[in-house]
Amino acid sequence: MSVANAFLELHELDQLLVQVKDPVRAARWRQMGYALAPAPAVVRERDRLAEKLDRRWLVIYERCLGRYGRGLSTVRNRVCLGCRLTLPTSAAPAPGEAHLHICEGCGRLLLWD
Amino acid sequence: MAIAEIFPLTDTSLDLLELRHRRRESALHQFVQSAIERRAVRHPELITMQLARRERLGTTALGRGFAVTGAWSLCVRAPLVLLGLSERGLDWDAADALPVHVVAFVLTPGESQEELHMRRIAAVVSGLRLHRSRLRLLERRDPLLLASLLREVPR
Repeated sequence: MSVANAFLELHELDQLLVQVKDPVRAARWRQMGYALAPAPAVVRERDRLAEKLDRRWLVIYERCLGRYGRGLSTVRNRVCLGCRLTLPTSAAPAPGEAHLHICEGCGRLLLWD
Repeated sequence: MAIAEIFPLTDTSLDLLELRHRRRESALHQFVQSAIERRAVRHPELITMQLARRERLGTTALGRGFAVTGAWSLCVRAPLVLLGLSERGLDWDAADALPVHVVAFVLTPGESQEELHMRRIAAVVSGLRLHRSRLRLLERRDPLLLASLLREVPR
């Protein structure tokens, strides 16, 4: 799995866990008829995945997660969909490159489409 | 010579699906495969894992043979609602232990607001809440009936 995909998986796990941990969101799900319960196995899975990731990128990811509610943003047509900043052409990774990039506007990790 | 682009007249973000399997995991896999065919997802393996994890946090079966599952995810390219029908019924770990005959699969791109996904799920739950409506869908398998039941789902 590439570094970008590992962070995408971490992001997906965080978004899922917030549905259970946040009382407002959990109440909305319950209202629709769903019974959500914290699953320690999913939390452990998140921790295990985070341990494998590069600490420097993880710090950036978690800082943005705390600030914006998500640490990752997708890029479409060179536009960061998190902050709508148009990124320079040079910011695009070479085809097949799995390196991570940071948005110059919001600081989130970028996931190029 | 002028070239005109013709857009499809039917709503391609909504469709019916015949569920072939009996297990929940297999049905979720079938939904994801169908979403891939519609170019609605990227990283299918991640979205399949995400759906399985969601089920571990609590079943998405709402009782009386009906379930609404899905994801609000960066792995989703385009909004999609698929309705899976199963004559035999699936084991969906429902609280009432009844087999599930109707499963709605709601995908919302992660770039959209979370609120939109919640509204889409709520509209699907509300559109399929009546047992009578679900029976009609199982009997007729009519996309027009599905479109009328889910007309309130935000795109």
